[in-house]
Amino acid sequence: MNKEQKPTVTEKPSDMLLACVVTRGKGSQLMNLLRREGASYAVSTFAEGTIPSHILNMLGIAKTKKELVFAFINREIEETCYQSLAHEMKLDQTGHGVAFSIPLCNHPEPPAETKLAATFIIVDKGRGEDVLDLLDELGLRGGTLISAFGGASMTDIRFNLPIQPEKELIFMVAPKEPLPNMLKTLDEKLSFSEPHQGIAITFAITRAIGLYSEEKKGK
Amino acid sequence: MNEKLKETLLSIMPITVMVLLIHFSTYAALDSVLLTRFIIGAVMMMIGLPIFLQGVDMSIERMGEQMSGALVKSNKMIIVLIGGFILGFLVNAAEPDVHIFSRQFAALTAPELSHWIFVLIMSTGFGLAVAAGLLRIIRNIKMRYFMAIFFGLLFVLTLFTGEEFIGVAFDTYGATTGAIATPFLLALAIGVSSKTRRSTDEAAESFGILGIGSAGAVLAILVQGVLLKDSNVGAIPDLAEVSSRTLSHGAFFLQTLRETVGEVSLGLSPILLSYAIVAILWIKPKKRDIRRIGIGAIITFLGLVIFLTGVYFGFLEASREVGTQLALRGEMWLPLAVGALFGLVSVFAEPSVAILNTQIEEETSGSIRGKTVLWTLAIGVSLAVTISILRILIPEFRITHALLPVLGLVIALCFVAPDIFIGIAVDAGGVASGTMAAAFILPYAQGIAKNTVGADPLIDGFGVITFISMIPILSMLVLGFIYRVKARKAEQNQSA
Repeated sequence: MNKEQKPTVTEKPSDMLLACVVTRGKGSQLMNLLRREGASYAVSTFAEGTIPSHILNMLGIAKTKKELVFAFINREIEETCYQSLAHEMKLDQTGHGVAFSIPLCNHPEPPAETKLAATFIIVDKGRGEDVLDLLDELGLRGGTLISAFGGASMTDIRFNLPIQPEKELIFMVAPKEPLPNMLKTLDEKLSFSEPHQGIAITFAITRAIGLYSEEKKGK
Repeated sequence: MNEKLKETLLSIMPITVMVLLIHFSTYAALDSVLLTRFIIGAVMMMIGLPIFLQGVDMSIERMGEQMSGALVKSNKMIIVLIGGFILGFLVNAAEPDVHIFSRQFAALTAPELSHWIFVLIMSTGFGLAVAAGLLRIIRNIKMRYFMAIFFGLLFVLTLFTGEEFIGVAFDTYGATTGAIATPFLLALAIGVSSKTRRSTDEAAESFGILGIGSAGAVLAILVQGVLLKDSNVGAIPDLAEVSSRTLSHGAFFLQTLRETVGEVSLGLSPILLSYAIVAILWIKPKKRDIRRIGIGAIITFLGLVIFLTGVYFGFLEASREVGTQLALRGEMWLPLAVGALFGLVSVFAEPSVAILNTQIEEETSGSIRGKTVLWTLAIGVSLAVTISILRILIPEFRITHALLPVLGLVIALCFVAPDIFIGIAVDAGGVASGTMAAAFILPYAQGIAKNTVGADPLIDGFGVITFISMIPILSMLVLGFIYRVKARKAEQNQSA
């Protein structure tokens, strides 16, 4: 992680994590916007997004360069943050990026029931696309791919030295209903329940904007 | 797609507008034949560049990355070293510019020998250096020591080499890394680096392979220059400077197209062949990968052929004509000022620079911005062209007068700039002196030299590429130094 900035002093402690995925190059603008709105901390990293286009996928051009921004905010500024995101970054229109909120542990109220959940999947490098294909078969699209390093133990030895294995992290927001089925499929097809095969976690999100959905497409 | 279009316009437009401005200001008006070809060339470059970059992203970089995986997986240092040597050797030997410079060097030093001997020497130097560069990455040897030794050797050998060889020898620094070799070697080195990562802050260690390779090739040629010092009997061959104006647009276009198709096929073939062998034996890629790399290779081929044909068809003679006309006006400031501006805008249009910048952004997750690197390189090349033109205009100005101080400064800055910038800087030197330097800046300089009293277009022609590769190294190191000073100030502010 980089482009860190000294946290601006806010009165209220942060209790939400705001995650945004935007086109590469828009990250700085986005972080400035969030800091202006009172986010206590904002970091960005590069990621790759997928396009829901079968023709481009056939050609292998289905990747777009994205930037992923995480910011810590207090629940009281959530509303104004989303308004600015809609106005200035045009996130209320499909195709300009997505943003969603994850309540942190110190969030006082139990997370409100939404139909959506976020999923994190970690696999060895090279298997990320297998996972994306599998998700695609289940009708889950719009995953974001991030390069990562590390593991539970530094088991890999290369040239007599222990190394950090390369990983891929897939990040996705999807409706809650198909998620249990997704976990089952990941286990069946990619044997996630065996050690060193992959990790998948899902968690509740309280609010989202800019998601690509079949409903919107119909309108 | 919108972003891509904007990017392409921003890279090709500046150089196009610059030439058109000079044309309409009547400082150097192009005739209708050259103007038509120039505009067709510019359009082709705008079409070709994004196609090429897309193809590189899909195939060349993926092949480099997968080959690095195969090398590291062997878990045997000797295999990594041999693999690095073979790949470096092949990629270098397939570079068209390497053959041009070998011919010139052969004619200059030992006309009785075939130019292939010099291709062999240069590629061996390049391959050995690439292997050493991979060893450096795995063993985690600091870039600064590595580069200080390389440039120290270059400095010493320059002192003992005849003036005539220096320009040719250092020009090979730029010649060795073309538009196809650049992404392949970068991906190979980055792959090896990230597959042998031990702590999380090692992104810094993945750059520098292009610079190390190029420095190896220059070293090999300089050693050869020292050994052959007494046998200087040859004359420098006149570069093909036959005007194509007598040819019709169609005939000239076809001739150019044929040349670029050959050039690009030659450049692509060693990578595709060695990948095919390694893929069948070790990688065993998935169907999806094979399809993507195959389609990507075709896209790369088409994009680069369109781009290069545009450059050779429209830009080469136009810039020579601008140089000629500016020199004939007899005012010294004109060629200098236009040269500085040409240097600046040519960097934006250079495909290898675009590739390096993307890789830098990716590897540092955006903490070093491509835009900053681009402008630093542009300023470096601008300065380099100015010095080259000065050298043409002032006969007493010799190549060593500028080269030795630059080399000295580079060595000194290697000890104060942050490690990541040293790697980026030496890579940047090779990519800055790519297609645009050879097919736009060089003809401009030759146009001036041919029409300046006391200048020798052949002698002064050499050394232009030298500065275009050496001075951006310097400017990148200065940028690194500035980053470091700023970071230190920020630290002091925080602790205060």
